[in-house]
Amino acid sequence: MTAQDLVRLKSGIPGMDEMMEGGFPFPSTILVAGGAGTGKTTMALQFLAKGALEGEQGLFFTTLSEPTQWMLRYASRYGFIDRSYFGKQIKYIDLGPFLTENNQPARILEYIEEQIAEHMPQRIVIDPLTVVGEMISGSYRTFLYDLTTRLKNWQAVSVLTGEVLPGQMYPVELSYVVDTLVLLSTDLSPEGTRRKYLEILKMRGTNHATGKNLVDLSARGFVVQVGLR
Amino acid sequence: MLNVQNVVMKLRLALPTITEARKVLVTAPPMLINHVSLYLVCAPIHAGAGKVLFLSVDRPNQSMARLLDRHCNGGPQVLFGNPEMDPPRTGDVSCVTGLFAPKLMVDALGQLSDSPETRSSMVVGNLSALGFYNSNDRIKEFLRRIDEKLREQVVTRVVLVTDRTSGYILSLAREFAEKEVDLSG
Repeated sequence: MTAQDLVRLKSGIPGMDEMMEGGFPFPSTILVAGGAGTGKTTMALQFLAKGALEGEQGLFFTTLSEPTQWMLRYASRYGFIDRSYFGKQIKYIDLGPFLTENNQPARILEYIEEQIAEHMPQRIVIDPLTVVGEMISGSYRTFLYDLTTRLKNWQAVSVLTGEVLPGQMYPVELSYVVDTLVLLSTDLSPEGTRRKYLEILKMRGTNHATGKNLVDLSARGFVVQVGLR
Repeated sequence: MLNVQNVVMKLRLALPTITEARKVLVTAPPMLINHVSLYLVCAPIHAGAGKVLFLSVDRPNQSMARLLDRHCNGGPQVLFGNPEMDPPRTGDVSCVTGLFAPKLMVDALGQLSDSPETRSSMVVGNLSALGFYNSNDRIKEFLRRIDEKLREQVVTRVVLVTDRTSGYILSLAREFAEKEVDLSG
């Protein structure tokens, strides 16, 4: 198989597909890591919205116990969101209550797989996955390995978001088990405004662009200004 | 647009063609291989045959078992998320998996068919995944063994499901099949 033969899913993020030979390899697992306000959830939603537009099925697992209507209220501010996607092409599943009552990794994996088997999505989001690490009993690393292996077996592209703590570049334990690592970051410009960046640190099977690229996060959604640093 | 609903609708329309032939090739978009295989094992391509044998080339036991349980063997049958679409009928589906041992998969068929009188249809998917771990000769041998099972009437009909990622496997499958249903474009 050559690189051209890899099936790819469009990311839905303007500018990003040209950084990675046309899209995310299918199937694969993607870690989108970044601090608060860097655009992780927006990027994940945009990825699902693109799939919905293409007629694909998407699953959005939230671990934050955020009610659907709250998420919808925020999401509907974005131009790329069509509310009619929710409940149909995009299923929203709140893992929060389940995680509160079940901290056994095997049970959590089983529950996630039940949902995937039911909806058979081509696109999956778990947002944020790092919360699960604080809630489960047993080895988080083993859980992550099992999760990413199983997600790929389901024939989907899975975007897992990871919160980054101050002083940390990305969640290290997650970075080893995923196929792709996308880092979102910010810094202060000399004028005192905060700029946002996207950088692809790793993407298996893909000749991807390197280095930080400026990101525009607005009502249009997440747009990568390729080449602007 | 190559979405689930369109592909399954095309598949449903093609079912009579599939039912008529003994050796059928179905080419499907890679992203929808799961849906197509699942529909084929659950849909009444095996009308009057009683049993469907599914050779799952690229899906491990656990996820296949879960899918079949959810959608084919008496589960809630929310297949493809479209309430307007007829749910495939609940079937008696047996599944064999084995990416690394294609010949063993075929040999297992004999044990799955209770008796020579039991008529079974067989679905094989995703055939192109065999190319990752098996030599060309081994894949040829796999298809030859399937042909043998047809002649021995262990199975009455074979439907091969594949995507187009392996040109070589696609050409072998075309040589093998009497009918081709193309859902990939």
